[in-house]
Amino acid sequence: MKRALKWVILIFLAFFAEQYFLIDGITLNFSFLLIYLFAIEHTFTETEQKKIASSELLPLLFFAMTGLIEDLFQGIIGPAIISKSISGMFLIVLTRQLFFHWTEIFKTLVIFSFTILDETIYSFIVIYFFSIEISSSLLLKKILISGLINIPFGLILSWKKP
Amino acid sequence: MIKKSTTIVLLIVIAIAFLLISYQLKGSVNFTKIHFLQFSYAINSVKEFFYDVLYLREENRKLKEELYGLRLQTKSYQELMDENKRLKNLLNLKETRRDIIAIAKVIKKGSNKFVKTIWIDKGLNDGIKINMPVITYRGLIGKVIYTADNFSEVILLTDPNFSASVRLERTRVEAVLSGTGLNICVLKYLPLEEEVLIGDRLATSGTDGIFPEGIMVGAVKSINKKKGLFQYIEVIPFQSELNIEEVAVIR
Repeated sequence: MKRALKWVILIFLAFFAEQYFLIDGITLNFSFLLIYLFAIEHTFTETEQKKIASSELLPLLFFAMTGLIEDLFQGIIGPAIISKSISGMFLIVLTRQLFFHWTEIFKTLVIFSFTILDETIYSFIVIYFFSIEISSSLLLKKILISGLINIPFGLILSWKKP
Repeated sequence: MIKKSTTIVLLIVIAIAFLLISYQLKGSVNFTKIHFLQFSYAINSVKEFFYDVLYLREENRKLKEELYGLRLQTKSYQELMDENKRLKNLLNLKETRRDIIAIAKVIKKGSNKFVKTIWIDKGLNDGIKINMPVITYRGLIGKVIYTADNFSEVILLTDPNFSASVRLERTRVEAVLSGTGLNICVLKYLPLEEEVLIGDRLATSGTDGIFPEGIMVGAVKSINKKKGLFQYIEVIPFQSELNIEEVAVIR
C-alpha cells in the first residue's frame, strides 16, 4: 500500500513537472525517470536479487501504463506506450548485466542514453505516422536537452541505490 | 535476458499500440486529450469547498483584495504605464473590430511535445470554438486548436504545423505562410519572378476560410532565390511569441 502510494505520488509529480516546466519552449521527459527508477528498484530489491530470473511482467505493465498516461496528456494513444515499453525492457536487461558495475558513471550514461532512446522512438513514431513537422535541429536539441536534464534528477532519485 | 513470456507480452503491447495508432490515423477512434488544468480545476474546487465549510471564503476574498491593493501600490510606475498601454490598445481593437468573441489572458505556454501553443483563460463558455483566429493589437498570433469549458489551446503561427493564406500589402500577391519552429515564419510557394522586398508587410488574404482578410501578420526579413523553384522568404511576425499577455479571439 505504502509502495503504491509512493508511485502514485511520483507519477503525479513527474507528469506535473513535464506539463509545467519548459526549457526554451521544449517539453522535458521526466516520465522516463519513472521507468528508470522502477527498473532499478525492481531489479535490485533484496527479494529480486535472490531469484535467478525474476519476472519482468510487473515492470512491463508499469512501463506501458506510464506510456499510456503520457499519451493521454498528448492526445494520441500509442507512441509513448511503445517507446516506454521498449526502452524500459532494454533498461531491465541492462541493469541485470551491469549488476556488479552499478556506479554513478554508469547511472549517468544509462539515464542519458535511455532517455534519448525513449525520445527517439517516440519522436520517430509521431513524426512518421502522424506527419507532424519539426526541424531536425530542433528535434536533436529537444532530445539532447531531455537527456541532459534527466541526468541530475535521475541521480538524485537513485541516490545510494542499489 | 528477458523471459519468453515477457517478450510475447511486450510484442502484444506494441501490436495493440500500433493498432490504436492506425485506428487514430483512420479517424475511427479519437481520444480526448487530458489537460493538467482539468486537475487544477478539480483541486481548486475541492479547496474552495473546504474554505466554504470553514467560513474562510469571505475572509480570503477580503485578504486577496487587500493584497491586490498592496500589490498595485508596489507596482512600478513603468509597469503600470505598460499595462495601461496594452489594455488601451486592446480596447481600441475591441472598438474597431466588431468580430471579437472574447478578450483572454494567456495562462500557460505549451503543453504538446511537438506543437508550439499557448493556453488562454476563455473557452466554450465564452463562445470560443476550434479554428477561431487569435490576434493581438499588433497582429495575428495563431488559431484555436482545442477548447474546454474555461480554457483553450492556441497554436502559434511560428509552429511548422501552422499555415495561413497571406497577401503582400504592396504587390497584392498571395502566398502561404508557415511556421518554422523558431521565432520566424516562412513564405511558401512564391514564384521566383514575383518581386518581394525586405520589409514588405503581410496581411491575411481571407481566402483560406479560417482567417478574415486584413489581419496584419509580419514583415519580410530575408529573401533567398537560390533554393528550388520558389523563393525562400523569412518573415518576422509583428507579434513576438515571447511577450503575448492578452489576446483577442475573433470569428
